[in-house]
Amino acid sequence: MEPAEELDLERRIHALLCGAPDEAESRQVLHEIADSPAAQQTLREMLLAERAARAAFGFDAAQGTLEASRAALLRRLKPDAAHAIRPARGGRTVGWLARVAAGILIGGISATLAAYATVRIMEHPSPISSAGVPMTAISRAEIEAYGRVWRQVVEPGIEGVPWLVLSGARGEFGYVPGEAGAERLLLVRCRFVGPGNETMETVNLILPAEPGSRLALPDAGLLGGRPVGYEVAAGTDWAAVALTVGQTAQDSAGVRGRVAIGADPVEVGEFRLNGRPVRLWLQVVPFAGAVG
Amino acid sequence: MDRPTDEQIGNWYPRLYRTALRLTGSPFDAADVTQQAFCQALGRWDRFDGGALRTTWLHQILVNCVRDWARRRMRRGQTVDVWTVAALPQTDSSPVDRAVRREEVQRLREAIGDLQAGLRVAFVATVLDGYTYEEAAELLSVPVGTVASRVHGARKHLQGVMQQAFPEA
Repeated sequence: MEPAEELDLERRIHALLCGAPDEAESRQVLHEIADSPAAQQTLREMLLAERAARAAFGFDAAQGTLEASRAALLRRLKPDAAHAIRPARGGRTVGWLARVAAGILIGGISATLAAYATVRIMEHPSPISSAGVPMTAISRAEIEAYGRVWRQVVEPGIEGVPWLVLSGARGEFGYVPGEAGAERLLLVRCRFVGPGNETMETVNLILPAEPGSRLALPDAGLLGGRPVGYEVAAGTDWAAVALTVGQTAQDSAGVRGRVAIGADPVEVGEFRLNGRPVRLWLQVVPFAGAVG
Repeated sequence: MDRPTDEQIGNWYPRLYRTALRLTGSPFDAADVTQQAFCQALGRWDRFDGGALRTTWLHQILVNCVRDWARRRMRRGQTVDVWTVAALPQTDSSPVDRAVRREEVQRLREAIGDLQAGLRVAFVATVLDGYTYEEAAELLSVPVGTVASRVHGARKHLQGVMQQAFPEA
């Protein structure tokens, strides 16, 4: 890469991490990162420098105060802010990107960044069909994209089969005992839907799921500021899923459901969160299956 | 001129807060000063003439708020150091880890402080505070390309210093 090109790429990556560019530019930069090991190395160095410098100056420790004071300011402005709107999807994607980028850096898999972001971009925003079904079926393209993400976290030399959870607020992975390569995989998507059919949160989980296996994740995402607990038990042609929101018996709510693998999305139940009804939609597809 | 949306305010807030944090050294004072700056800015939103980036204008208001804060503080006999920092996190698990961490942090802070002035302010504005290169260029009154080369130079220099100090890391 020529020096001038390198500086320009750094400028564009930095703008991306600042949440500055529009979605087209974000997508373009991500594609360039995905296609270029040199760009991935540049991103890695930039993130390392940012992370180390901000930590050295105590910025990490102040992150909670930053978030709280930003929220306080927005609340303060609300009464006369008829112009106020909810964050647009593009901004949310970039925010999510920055959070995941830091997590990926820890894992040392910078290439995953682009794949993660690709998946986010490919997801359809708030699909509300004319029939009022708030969740469209998972498409083949999405499955292929998730496959790329999953392959990124299969690391040679690490015993076990990876699981991967992607939500609006989280992008994490881990390993369960087993031999990579021979496993049966499932993609489980659950969507929390509000009273107006609006999407409150979507949690996508990819997991190795031999019949009889079970995976429990206590912190798979966030809904209304509360952690989402996610438990999946897989059978031969069905999967049972339990979703809880909250941490203690006093503030928890949740839904259990059992769905056929490969079937269309279904509503499995409803609970109330802060007095508002929340419905849970679910779809489970075999990872290499033909769905959509 | 249209007032800003929640999304815009939410996007601008972190970089102004980080600037305030770096200048005040206190997360809570930084929150107060940043909120004050936004309230002042919103009160005179229509006066922005569009001759600069909006963030540059907000930054100037913030710096004035920090100056007021510093004056109040100095009247109470407390001085302000522009390189004052917030309390460092103490989350490492062992005394050895904490000692190593403190040493790394100290070395990095010294290395940033020792950077040639042009490199340092470009690095601080972009990497620490989180302004884009275009915004930093306006804040520092230099071309965007100059910001890019200075940030690049600063980062490479800091990488070299840290690798020399902690080759096993």
